[in-house]
Amino acid sequence: MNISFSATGTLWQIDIYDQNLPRNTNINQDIVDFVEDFESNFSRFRNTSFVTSLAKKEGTYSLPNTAKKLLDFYELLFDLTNGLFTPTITKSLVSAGYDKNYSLTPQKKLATPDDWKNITYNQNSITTTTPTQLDFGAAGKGYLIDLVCEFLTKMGVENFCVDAGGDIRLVGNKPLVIGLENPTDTSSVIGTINIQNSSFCGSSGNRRQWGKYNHLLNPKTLTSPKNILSTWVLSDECIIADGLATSLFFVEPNTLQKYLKFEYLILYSDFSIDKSDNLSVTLFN
Amino acid sequence: MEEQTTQQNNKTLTGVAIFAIIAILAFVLNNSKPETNTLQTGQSPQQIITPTPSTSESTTLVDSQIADGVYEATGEYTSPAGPEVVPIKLTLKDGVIESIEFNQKATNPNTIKFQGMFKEGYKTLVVGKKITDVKLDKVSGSSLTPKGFNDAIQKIITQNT
Repeated sequence: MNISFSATGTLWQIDIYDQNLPRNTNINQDIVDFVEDFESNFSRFRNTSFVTSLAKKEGTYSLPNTAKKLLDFYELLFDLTNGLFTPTITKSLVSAGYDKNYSLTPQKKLATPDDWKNITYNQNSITTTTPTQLDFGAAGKGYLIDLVCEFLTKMGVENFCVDAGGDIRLVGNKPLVIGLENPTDTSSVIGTINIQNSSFCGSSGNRRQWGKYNHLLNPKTLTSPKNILSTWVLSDECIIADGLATSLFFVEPNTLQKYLKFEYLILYSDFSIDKSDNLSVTLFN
Repeated sequence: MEEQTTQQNNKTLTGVAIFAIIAILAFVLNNSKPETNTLQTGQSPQQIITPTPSTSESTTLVDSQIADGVYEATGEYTSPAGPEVVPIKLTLKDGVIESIEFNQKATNPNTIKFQGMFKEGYKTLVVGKKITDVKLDKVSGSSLTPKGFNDAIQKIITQNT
């Protein structure tokens, strides 16, 4: 069974491999509603989200119970990358043109990010001392994929794949062969990987680029990385695979490997690669 | 780890020996990875430069009894542009070359070009293969963009042409 819909700025495809589905005949709608609920809470493009409230005015705002884990993970990556991975990249991205209208017209001088330390939070609420613009694009989708997988598991589905625009989590005993998209020619792949019961995320600036910028922006140099074309990360949880795929554009893998369990592949602008020792992958050359 | 310099045991490697080592290096790199790694490396580095050996001295090349350590050597050869040097530092562990550093010291433009090509040769470079030629279940890269974004890009392209 296949469930397809648009959400979080991309196309979601959920494949259920179980022969006997649970008695819930509304899986399709339940999933779409679940994703929509998350997006309305976390997207900076939605008026209903706490992200939008924080951007407009200082104060304390209530959090959905799923928020803390995401915030904790952003806090961890912020610390590990010395702030190169930050949820406050929004202000800079918007000044580069990646705003809610997709104006894609950069200002001459980009804005510097807000200070992540303006923000404190706990399980139930989040407080900012001054209006602060956040964005959870880097790891939010991966996290949502994990939540959707939990949702399906709770429903009794055992073998399935959740694919949100190429960020993938596979649950159960069916393996998949995934092609590694060539960012300079999306009709081709530079290799393939076999995965089972894992999360796999890819990141690249190729689809969201305009002028000298793409949606990956270094908060300190206020430029988009040019030396790396694509990154891919394999991990148990999709929140990790997604967040690290972005982080690897800005820091060396070994700064992250001490704290998180993952395998990676990096494609550089000269088409050379770097990969972790235990990544089992087929590359074309 | 022992450091052996060319002075210490008089083992100046000739140009021919250097490139034989490189060929063996390529063989070793292709066969030394553990089984879990199915990475297929490509061609072994090409011997771009054809040196004229300055002596006919034959040297024992990679000996499986060679101790672990860091080895430095300078290959000398005569290119059409004149004498050239190739300084190489390699790390041996358990008879396998763990790492190799090649410091380019050439000044002649052709030599720089050919030594550069050689240096590039031992990085793994990938190429694209058409999706229609590969058996895939899915493709992973950057997320597909929504219509709104694609329209915005199209507008910019139109405005700037």
